[in-house]
Amino acid sequence: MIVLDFERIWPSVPYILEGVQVTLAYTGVSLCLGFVLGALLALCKVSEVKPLKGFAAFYTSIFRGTPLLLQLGLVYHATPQLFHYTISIWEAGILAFTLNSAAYLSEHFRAGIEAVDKGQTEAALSLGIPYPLIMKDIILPQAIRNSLPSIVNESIDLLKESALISTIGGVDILRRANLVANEKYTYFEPLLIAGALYYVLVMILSTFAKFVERRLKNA
Amino acid sequence: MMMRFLYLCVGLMILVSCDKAADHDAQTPLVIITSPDNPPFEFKDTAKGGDEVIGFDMDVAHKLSEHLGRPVKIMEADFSAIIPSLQSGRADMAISTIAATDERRKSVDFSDPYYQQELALLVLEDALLETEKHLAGKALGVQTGTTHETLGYKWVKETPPLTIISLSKMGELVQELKNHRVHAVLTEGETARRIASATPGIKAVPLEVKGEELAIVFPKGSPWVAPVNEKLKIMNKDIQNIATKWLKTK
Repeated sequence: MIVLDFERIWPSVPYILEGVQVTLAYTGVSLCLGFVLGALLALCKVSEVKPLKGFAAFYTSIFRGTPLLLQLGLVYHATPQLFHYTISIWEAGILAFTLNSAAYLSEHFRAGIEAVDKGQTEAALSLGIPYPLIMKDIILPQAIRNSLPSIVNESIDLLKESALISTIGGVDILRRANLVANEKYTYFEPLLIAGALYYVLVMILSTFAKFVERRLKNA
Repeated sequence: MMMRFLYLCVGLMILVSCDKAADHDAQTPLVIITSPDNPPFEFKDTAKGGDEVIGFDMDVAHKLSEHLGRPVKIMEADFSAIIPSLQSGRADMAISTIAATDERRKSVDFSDPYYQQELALLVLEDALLETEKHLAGKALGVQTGTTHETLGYKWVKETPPLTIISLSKMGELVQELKNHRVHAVLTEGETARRIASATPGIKAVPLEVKGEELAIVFPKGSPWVAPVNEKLKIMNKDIQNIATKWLKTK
């Protein structure tokens, strides 16, 4: 029989709660940067320029083809040796999460761009509108709407995967829960609290996403 | 022109030597890395905000920095990241309940030992296990990568048939004990005592056999090994006081 004893860890709950802002900071910043990089990669993927296309495909294959845990460990531990720069936990986390989520986001964007009827581009071109403007004003707004559900998925994934930062010592929700578990010699309870926090965060994120999706549909 | 060139050279040399002096400046903090997940050796008082790493090892670290006349900066990392962090130059040394073993000596340097670990078995309250000799036919839980794991495998040869179950977290091992999947967990004496008093239904059985000695860890070839050893020699009394403060096993 498992008896849960939350009383012993109750005073440490605020300590775990503080991890929420750490987790959100990693997720938010990486997502924004990943968004920009992902959009650029997606543009490379739909462009006619072969080297750009090839580069974007290669980039995606690397970052989708290896575990994020490995990428994070390499960025954190190999950077000082290779580039003589002592990268901090925060920088390593942001870099690894950004590069990784950009790979996934670029695929979502590409799908979104390709879902827009090709006739629109052709029509715009025949009207003499330059390609950058076609992309910016006609294709991308629709593409973002098309790929919104998968972007939300990626955000939720990233929010949960940011827990990997605890492996290199980032004090996010998970690491704080583990530290409390070790300090108080209670294993389940802090992890249950961490689980509840992640769940609530994901619920908030997906509710917000549904709201945005509905707004965009009517737009 | 020649003179100018000479002045430039002298100036440069002074600059370079200044730089070197700054490197050994008494104000540059000593970066000591630790994994604060092992009370009472290194942990955080999370109920009080958990801003500071405290414990036996941390008091040793602070005392050592006092003797060396250098301020100290405690850096936090996951245990598995400690040795890589030393190698990549993130920290000057590590104090994190690490025992000096020949295997580890291949990748890092150690100071002289500063503490002799006790050992104990964690068992269920009604278990009849009193020494490691009683382990025959049982399953013994150990933490992966620890010297306890090495010792466990040594016992496998001495007390067959003994099964070793090796898991990464202490909490998981205690859970396995409660679930009857392991019959005993081998760990440090004080750690065992604390777990037993915090977990109903589990007791700690102190063992006669001593554990490995704890030492401070340095990157290979570190200039700190000699000065630290020198200070450790005169810190016996200090370390004993620190031990009485944190460790109540004896």
